[in-house]
Amino acid sequence: MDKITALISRITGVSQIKLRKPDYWKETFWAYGYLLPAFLVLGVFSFWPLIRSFKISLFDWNVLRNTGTFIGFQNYVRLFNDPEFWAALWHTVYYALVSTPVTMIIAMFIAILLNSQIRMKSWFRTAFFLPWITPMVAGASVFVWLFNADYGLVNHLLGLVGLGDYRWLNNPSLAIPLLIVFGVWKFLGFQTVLFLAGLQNIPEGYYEAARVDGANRLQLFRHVTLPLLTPTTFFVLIISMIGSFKVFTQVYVIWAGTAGPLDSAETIVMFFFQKGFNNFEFGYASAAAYVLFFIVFVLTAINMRVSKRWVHYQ
Amino acid sequence: MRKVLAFALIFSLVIGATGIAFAADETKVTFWHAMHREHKDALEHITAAFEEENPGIDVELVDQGGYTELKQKVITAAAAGQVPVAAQQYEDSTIQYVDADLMKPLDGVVSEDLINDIPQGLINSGTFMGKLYALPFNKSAMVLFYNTDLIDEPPATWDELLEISAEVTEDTDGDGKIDQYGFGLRPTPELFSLFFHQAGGEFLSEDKSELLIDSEEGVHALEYMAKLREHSLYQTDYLSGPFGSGKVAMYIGSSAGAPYVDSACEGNHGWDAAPLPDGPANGDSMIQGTNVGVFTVGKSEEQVDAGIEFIQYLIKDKWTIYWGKKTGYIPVRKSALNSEEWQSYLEENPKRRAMTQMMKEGFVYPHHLQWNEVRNILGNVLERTMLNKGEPKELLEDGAKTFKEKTG
Amino acid sequence: MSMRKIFFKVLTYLLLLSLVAAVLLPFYWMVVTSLKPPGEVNVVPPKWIPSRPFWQNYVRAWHAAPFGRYFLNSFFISVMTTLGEVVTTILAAYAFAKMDFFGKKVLFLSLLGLMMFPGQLRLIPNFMLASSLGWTDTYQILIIPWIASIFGIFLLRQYFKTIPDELWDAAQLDGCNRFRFLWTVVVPLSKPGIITVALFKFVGSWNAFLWVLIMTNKTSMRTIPVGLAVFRSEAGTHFGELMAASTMAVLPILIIFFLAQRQFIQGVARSGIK
Repeated sequence: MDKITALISRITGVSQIKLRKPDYWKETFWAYGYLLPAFLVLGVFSFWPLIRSFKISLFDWNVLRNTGTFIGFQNYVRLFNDPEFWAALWHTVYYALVSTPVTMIIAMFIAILLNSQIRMKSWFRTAFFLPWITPMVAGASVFVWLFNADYGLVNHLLGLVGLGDYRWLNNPSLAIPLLIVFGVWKFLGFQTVLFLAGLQNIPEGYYEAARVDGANRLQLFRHVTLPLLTPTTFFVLIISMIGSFKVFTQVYVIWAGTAGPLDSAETIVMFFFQKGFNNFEFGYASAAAYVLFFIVFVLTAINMRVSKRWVHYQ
Repeated sequence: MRKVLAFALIFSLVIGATGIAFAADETKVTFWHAMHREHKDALEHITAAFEEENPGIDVELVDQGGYTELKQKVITAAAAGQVPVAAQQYEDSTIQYVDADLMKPLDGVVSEDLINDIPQGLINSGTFMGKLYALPFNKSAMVLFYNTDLIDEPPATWDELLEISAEVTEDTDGDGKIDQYGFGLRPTPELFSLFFHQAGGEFLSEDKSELLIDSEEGVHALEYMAKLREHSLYQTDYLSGPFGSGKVAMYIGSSAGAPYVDSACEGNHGWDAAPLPDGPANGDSMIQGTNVGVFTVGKSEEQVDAGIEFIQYLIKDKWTIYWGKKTGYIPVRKSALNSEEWQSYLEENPKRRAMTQMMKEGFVYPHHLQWNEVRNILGNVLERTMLNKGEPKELLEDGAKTFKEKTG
Repeated sequence: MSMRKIFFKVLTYLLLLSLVAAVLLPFYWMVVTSLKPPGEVNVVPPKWIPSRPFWQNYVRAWHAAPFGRYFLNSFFISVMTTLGEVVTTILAAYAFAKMDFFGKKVLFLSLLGLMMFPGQLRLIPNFMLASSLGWTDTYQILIIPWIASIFGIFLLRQYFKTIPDELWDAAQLDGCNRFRFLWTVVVPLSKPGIITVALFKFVGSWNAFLWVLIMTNKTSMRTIPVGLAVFRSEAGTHFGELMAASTMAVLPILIIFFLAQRQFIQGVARSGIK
């Protein structure tokens, strides 16, 4: 008995004295009771599906008959040889690479403007924040109309400054740019609020010290604001990047259930949806979802590593 | 503590209660469709009449959005074992449903008289592997819509179509941008198929193993469309909007668009519908629109019977004429087409004459289990050509190759 | 104030105002279009203000699709998921923050790991599960899977940790049990955190799309976003009606936002500072 206790203690790191206390086990019993509702729901609808999903990804699944043939990793092999998947991956990366920095730079800029002493600060903040709480479907519907080629406001405004008119919804090379514009509009305010909170967390003392040393506005920004804001910047970067890999609803709404002209707006999640719920290749779609997970995981891991070099925690 | 328990109780009760279905005496028929506006109103009207005449049957119409979404929904529901009793469907969907054993064969169930009264082409469109699975409902033919303020005599041949399109295309206000196009082009697989067929093309080889779009006729059709594109407004949305506002002077589309065209043109300019210009081989039109069929999975016998009753009712003489008048679709029965009522309607509405005539000279797609892949290929080839992403011949060859890969 | 300072002030306001204008333009255009009579929607150049407000678009949209039902569904589902999540989250967060139990570390780390997986991975198995349970087209499938949230547990755990243990010791002396202590002391002290969790959930549920799209077939089970997506086909090129429907979809959530504006923005701000 003692040996078992010692072993458990070694494995779990819980001291032997504790393990022998009845109170500890009583508390454990109650704690599990508290955890039960959440863990039940998460277990059934989040954890178990992950395992099942992996299993399905190894099958050629017949949806209508609800049976499958085991085919090992063939779905994954097929994925790597599918030009459509690579195209979807490229669209997603393109979107992420442009929309993330653009949104972040504008959001940081606005946050800095708002952080100075100006009137109606909260009014401005609220205005920028509105798109974020707007339902994606409604926002995308409005964009469909704004970017209408013939009667849309955007083409009209572009025409006023002599920029010609574009057939936004029909032109494959404009599909991702359109999504980027939408993404910037939608997530700008959310990021602004995060940056603003980050800015307000920087102690005034740092600025005063720098001013005493004769730093000008630009130097203040470069040597005080930017470094001390890096934890927020890092957080926003991760959120925004993960978000980029989830783009779906706006595509579905803007191009009415399709992936745009010549599939030019087919993001990874749209690819997953098309394979899963259009073609009903559940196995293939599950494999795509696992690859998506893997990519996001690796990117986050890389970011975490690299972040040690540029993120300064106070 | 007590509060929390009470809350938990209420919470589970409320959620639980909503899951309980109440047993009804009526037989429930769910009908999934993609009909909107005038079309939806007419469908609702006919359905109400059906319910009145059949007090034991309750029809639930479910709008599933566009046809793409409708099909997505039917397949999702099939996977969940929750298909509707009946639904609108294109041929390439029906064949998939039949392949998955979802559908009820209608031979021997639907009366001989009715089947004999439906034009053979439409019966063929609902027949798969020798069995009838779907009845025609909303059927239309492609016609040429044209702006009568700009064009007196509609083009009769491909050459004339090109000529007139070029003539009418204009920068009316002189700002360097074209604001009036001769033709409106929407890149659907059906539009390419129309030109392909008119050029004399055959879709499939005898054994159905090859897609013959890279034939001489195919190249000719696509090259012609590329030329037409130079005088066209090109867009993926329906063209009734720009046609109504005068931005587009002509377009080829389903006669079902007539109510949309009519309301879009109102107060702007006159319009008419003409028979299609003749191609090198023929001047046939393409039959458009969907059939309706009945599903069996998880359905009681009463429901299946009621569903069959309903889809027959939709095309009763009286209603197929009513439908034709209200929507721009064409009656699907010979007796209705020849009826005095429809004839006198055509007398009063000359615009509908071309539409009815084109229906008689219409063709439909051949049946193939993977026709939805073929439609993707056709649409893709056309879209690429229109966007200058390659030469017609090469693109068609690519398309034929893709077909081999996907079906081989 | 020096000229330089004034210059910067003016510049700041100009920049902010033009950015705000750009962000708000879609909202303005949505509302204005929804009030235009059909003849004024598809015109070049676009009209900035309708000649007279045309309310008919709202009437038509409202009658063309059962938006009333969509609202009820959205509201019911959002309220239920929010209530459910708040309860499960408080319980779990409390255990992680204030209790000492066997397997705590492992369970906590496994939650962290679970958060890494994108939601799409869960879609197909959950759809299959729902199908086999006969849960498609029910409120259960739209509510129960969403009444727990790892993010919520983390957030509240942070809150609960800041409550001094002395309070619990004192409560025990008074003969108060753990459960009562949680609901009568810890919860009231953590109100801002709980409100944040609730607001996030409410908005998330209200705006949810893909899950509802896949799990529902009947008109009567649709929520506002899914109903609106279907309505896009109905509206076709009648943008006045589509914009009216969009305005109706946005309005309730905007009202809730304006009522709880401070909590919203502080909630987001707090989620960034760890």
